Amino acid sequence: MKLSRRQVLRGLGGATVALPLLPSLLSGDEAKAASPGALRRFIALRSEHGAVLGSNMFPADSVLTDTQNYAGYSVRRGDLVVDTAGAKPMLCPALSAAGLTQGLAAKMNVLRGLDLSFYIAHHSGGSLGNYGDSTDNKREYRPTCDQVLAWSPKFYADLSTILMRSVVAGDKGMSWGYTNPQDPQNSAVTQLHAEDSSLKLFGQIYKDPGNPTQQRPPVIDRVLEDYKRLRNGNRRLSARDKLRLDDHIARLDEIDRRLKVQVSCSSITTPTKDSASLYGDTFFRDVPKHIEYWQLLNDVIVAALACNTSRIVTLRAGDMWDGGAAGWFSDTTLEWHQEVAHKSHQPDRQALMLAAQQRFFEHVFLDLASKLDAVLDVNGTLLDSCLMFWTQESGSYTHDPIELPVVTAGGACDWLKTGNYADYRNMNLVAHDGNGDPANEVTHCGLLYNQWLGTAMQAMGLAPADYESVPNGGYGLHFMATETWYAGYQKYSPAVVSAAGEPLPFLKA
Amino acid sequence: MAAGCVGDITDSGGGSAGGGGGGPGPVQSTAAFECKGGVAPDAVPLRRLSKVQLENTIADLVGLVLPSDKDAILLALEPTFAALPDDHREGPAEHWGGFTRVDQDVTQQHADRSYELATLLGTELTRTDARLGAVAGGCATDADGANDDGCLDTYIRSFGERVLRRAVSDEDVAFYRAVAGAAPFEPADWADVTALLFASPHFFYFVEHGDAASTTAPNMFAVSSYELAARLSYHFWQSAPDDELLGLARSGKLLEQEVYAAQVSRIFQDPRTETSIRQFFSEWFKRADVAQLNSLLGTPAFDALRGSLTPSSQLRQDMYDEVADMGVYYGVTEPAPFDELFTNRKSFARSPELAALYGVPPWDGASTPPDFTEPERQGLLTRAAMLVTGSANTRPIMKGVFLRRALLCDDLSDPPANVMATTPEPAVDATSREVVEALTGAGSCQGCHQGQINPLGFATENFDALGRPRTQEKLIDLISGEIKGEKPVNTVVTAYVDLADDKTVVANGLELQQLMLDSGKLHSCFARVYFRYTFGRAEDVKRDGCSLADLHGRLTKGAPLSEVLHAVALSAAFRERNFGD
Repeated sequence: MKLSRRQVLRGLGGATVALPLLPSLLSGDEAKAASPGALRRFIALRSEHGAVLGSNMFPADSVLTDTQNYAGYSVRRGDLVVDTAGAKPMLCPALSAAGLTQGLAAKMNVLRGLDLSFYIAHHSGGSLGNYGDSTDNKREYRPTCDQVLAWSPKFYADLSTILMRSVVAGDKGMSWGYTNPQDPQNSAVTQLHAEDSSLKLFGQIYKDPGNPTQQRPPVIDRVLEDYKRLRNGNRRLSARDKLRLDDHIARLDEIDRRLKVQVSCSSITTPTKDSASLYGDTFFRDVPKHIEYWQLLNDVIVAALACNTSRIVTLRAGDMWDGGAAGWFSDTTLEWHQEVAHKSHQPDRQALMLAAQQRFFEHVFLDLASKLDAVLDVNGTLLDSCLMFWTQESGSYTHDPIELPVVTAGGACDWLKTGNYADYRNMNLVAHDGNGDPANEVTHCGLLYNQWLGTAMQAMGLAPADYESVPNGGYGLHFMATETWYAGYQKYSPAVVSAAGEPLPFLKA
Repeated sequence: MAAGCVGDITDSGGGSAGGGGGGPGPVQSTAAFECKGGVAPDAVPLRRLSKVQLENTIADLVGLVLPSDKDAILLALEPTFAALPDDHREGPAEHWGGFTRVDQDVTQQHADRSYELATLLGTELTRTDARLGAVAGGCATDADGANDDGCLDTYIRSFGERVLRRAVSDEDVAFYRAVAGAAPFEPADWADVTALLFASPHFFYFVEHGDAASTTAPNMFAVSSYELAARLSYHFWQSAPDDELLGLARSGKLLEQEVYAAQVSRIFQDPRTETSIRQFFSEWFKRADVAQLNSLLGTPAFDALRGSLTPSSQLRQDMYDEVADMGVYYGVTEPAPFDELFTNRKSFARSPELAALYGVPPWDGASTPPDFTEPERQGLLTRAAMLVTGSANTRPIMKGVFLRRALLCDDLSDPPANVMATTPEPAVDATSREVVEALTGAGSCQGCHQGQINPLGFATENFDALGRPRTQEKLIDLISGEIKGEKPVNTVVTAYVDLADDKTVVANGLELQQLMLDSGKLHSCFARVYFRYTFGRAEDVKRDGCSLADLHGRLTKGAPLSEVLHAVALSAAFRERNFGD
């Protein structure tokens, strides 16, 4: 079936008038009115490594016109202003895109000066609060914050249309959850499967209302009963056997719930091309295919949010690793990991990394934001209902979570102020002094990344008590560096730590 | 900030390792094992079928009842199979010495897809009268509604025994038939009953209740005859028990020592065992850091290296297949002692492309494999699968890590913390070895790299990144592809195979291989990895000492590999289960 073309694009305030007609899975009706109420949505994107120099990743300090004393030092903010003088509209070199309008920038925030207070190295869950998932030194696992949302009755007060509590997309996952979210006390925390096939994902977020195989009552209730009679029977099982059965029973409960979902989208168009079909021997260095791959996933994500079959999305864009010849949004033949990421402060390698991350911003982040902004919702657009953000695995020094960039879009139904470049660095507290570094990159310690995730959770309607791990404010546990060589060793003051439970400065509407 | 290290040596993009702040250094694996009585081995709780096992089981069951429609039905199931999450190689060192059987994750997707498969099987097996009649008998489709009750009961008992891999009790019959309601039954009723059987926990999981208490240790119980039949068939065949095994399980005779031993031999000699043994060697020997060999075609540096050789997209897989074929050959086809894997001079290259790279005729898979003509090649370490990278340069570090972790089972500590340190730029007048030595020869890197990792990779630097022998290394500019010159390769190393106190110098990969054999660490590592493959979990040297010692003992005595591979099923651990926690 041929992909439909979106026939109705929003034009409120002219914010997205520069958008061309975008391929979409939505018919005009779905694009007009996506959901019955003002529901908040959470979208997290993560790219690998980081390694972009601060001067490339963030707007210039000169735009930081406002200051505020906070946690014992001055934090700063300014307005996001799109510079249209160059080849592409831009906020800074990494945040440049043909489709970047001042209207879209007004719905974004760029945050600088957010750190993990310990050396995490490579990780998959750290971007969403499972800081224990570190290849450097595994620590206590916690579910990622998206999974707390996914099982929160506050966030999902009504599950009647929800086919997937959370969409976990990408070539690698970053979401971690309890094996049995209904029994956290007896559950392990495991990584969720990530879907890299847009077609398979579509099959999970959309249920054909006319499917004849669903006319007969499903047997799920009897399957559940079968598991329970084994679980509760009198034949010998170990306690751990029973926990595994409990986990499976919880998943069957979820299937049972989903089978009762009434999907509101009745005329959604089934996509015909699969992101996974783009894999090939040279995919890792094929930029156009990379772009198409992620945009196919974006289309399904927009459909899921518009049809309200899910309101949570996590997407991790990994290295597209294929042996040693990995690449990522770049046509270089250099090994991406060792030859580019780990040498990213050399000028030629920084240029490669910057170009790749810029392409991710333009063709994945902004593509998704623009598509969401083109769908009308009750009080604005889908994007307005979202807290969408992109972060990276590391700061400008790969492996080091200092100055983790956070780029947001959407105001979470007016919970967030937008249009800000907020800089939370303590300019009197140097982390890396740049000595010996090819780029002489100097970084500074700032506020805890936990505080950002806590802010995000509050923007989604949760109270700190719903997600905090007392006495750790913000989202996730506080781990302090024990390695004296680490740039952030003993640099986070009690004032910074105690502030972690508060919304970040400048952001709360 | 100390200079020197360029990155995390073990990192494979999936985030396998990062900096470690200078950990404790490599940990020597145990070379010998001790069997102490009274110690209860651990058990995998409610082990599930692997993806391969699930697919095989369904294919075999469908083929059994509907042989002529098997392909069509499997085609209908294929999209759901494809959507089932893949199993990942897991083990103490992730994919190094890890196996997909060890992956016991059960996600929502597993539950979703297994439920879908069950409902699809219900629909497909009963889609037509012909299919239903073949599956459940003529009584299911005749016009006589009065025989439907008995027909359904018989179906649940007979087909249910195969699907559930256990005896079907009266209570079970009552449970599974309830979904159909009252007779007469329509095809949809049969579909529901069938779906319910395939959706049972007894199908997706290896449900074990155990039988008589064992005297070996507290909480240990012998597994039941059905449970033992399932363990046996899934270990060697990756699928459900056949009629003979099922019959012996039903009668309980399988628990008799002689009967069981005979069944172990029968099953091991069955051709289906070969696929399981192939999977074992394939996963053990598979390096994760090898790119597709054609992926850099047309790029300057790679083209400069390859010259007239144009690798196809199949060549990497051919190389993986070759080492798996070698394992099958010495483990099943022409049983030989374990050492033969590291001393033989035969080529198992079936594809003309790989055979041409070796300079030998392709092996037909049946006759005696041809011998290598290149004097540099012998045993595992000098085969292409162990050498290639897919890029223009060799990777001594990754070769070394593979040998240390996957073949010697040593536990490497994390890489140093300062992996983002300023790095010396590789020079175009240096060999790969010299570059690596410069990059890792200072700071906190050198402790592990110089002693424990790099030498194992340097010893085979007389092969290029496409697995071809060389005495001179082309010095290629990685950007321009310009060949700046050549330098002789140096394969002489102090290998430190035994981390404790071994300073033996070897001249090349062949001598390294022999040193690894002489150390006994290859044998003990094999015992460990085969244990993981068999039991679906990482070994505990103390609690699993008896199983490991038995495997290791047979290896060191020079027993044929086939004996080692099948004897594991005769061990107490294979026939018992710990129900404690």
